[in-house]
Amino acid sequence: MRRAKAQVLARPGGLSTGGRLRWGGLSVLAVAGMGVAAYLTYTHWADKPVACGNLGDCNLVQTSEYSAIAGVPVALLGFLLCAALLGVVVWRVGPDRSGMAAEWAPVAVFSMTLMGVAYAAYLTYVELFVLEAICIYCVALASIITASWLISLAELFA
Amino acid sequence: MAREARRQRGLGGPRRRREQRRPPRLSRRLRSLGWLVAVVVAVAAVAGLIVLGTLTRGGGVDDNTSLVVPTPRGPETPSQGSILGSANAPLTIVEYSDFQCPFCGELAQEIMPQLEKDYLATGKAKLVFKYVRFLGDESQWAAEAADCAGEQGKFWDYHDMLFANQRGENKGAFSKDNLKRFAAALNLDTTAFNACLDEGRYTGKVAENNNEARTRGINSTPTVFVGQTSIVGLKSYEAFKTAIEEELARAR
Repeated sequence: MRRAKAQVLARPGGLSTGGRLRWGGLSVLAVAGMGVAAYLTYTHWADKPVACGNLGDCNLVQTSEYSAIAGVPVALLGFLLCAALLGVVVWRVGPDRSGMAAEWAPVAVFSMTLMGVAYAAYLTYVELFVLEAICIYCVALASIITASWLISLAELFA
Repeated sequence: MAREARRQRGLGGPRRRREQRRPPRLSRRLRSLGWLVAVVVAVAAVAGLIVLGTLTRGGGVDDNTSLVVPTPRGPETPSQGSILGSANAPLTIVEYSDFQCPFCGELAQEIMPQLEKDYLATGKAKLVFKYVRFLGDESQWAAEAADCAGEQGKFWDYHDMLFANQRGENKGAFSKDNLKRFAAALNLDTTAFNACLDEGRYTGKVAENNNEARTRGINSTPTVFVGQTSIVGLKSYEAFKTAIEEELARAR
């Protein structure tokens, strides 16, 4: 019994099966989020219409004055957040000799995704009640960030 | 005992020893502090973003109370679309202008009214207004909106409205929402206007004007061609008057 536990601890990064699932899930969500955010950033900068079929009114949202802060597209902020999230995941699953990643990566992910969830909630409010238009890609990105936040909560209580 | 046994069997190995050399787990106080910092940073960052967003949007015209509604145009000067003055006037003045450019605004508000009175209303010259998009998205939308208003015979009223409500560049003054407000303030048929603006009916025309300006070597606004004479930048009324008189004399 004690020997089995020692072997689990000795695994690189010290990740249990559940831990590997959670961090793996986070990496998938981060990459998906980067994809969506990169597309929205591209359409914002290139002044291209967003291909969203008849689902909502992406272009009204994307061209609204809420789509950028001081000239920086909000979608770019989303991209940077997802990229940073992926960075922390890589840090956590990589070699962790000092134990710093095991200690602080969950805190970092929680903090970043909390930030994302709070801002996404604000933007969704703006979409629904100020612009009265919904952007399906923005909703997708908000969902990805919310899922990441839920995983980070699971990691905390694991 | 167990550790002793593993060492004897060689199970510990270098990895296991590293595991044991890890520094002791962080103190509870440090961990709590870390958590506190993480949550505070997250909340502060979001609050900061929302405040910054609100402040940078503040340059825009938010409601009708801060809207400057210019005096409606009377019938003194005939107009057709973006052409002001009689179609038969002997002299043609072509103005390349960006609705967001401050000097274009000054030209429109300080110089043009007098020129209009002296030359356009009297049938001596006509002004062809060519909007260009030099300064960004809001220049584009404003230009499209002017033509949407033109569909209802209000190009020039909308032109005046835009220049009267300039508030910095790309800060939301000419957001589509505000452009729609301008239309409402001018008593346009907003359903038709909004549909025109939203579908980008004149997007191509802005690009056409931009290309035309480029082929004519124009790289700043305002640039005005009085007949063959070009006037680049904001000049005095006298400069325009001299150019117009010279061109009129040449045409006679």
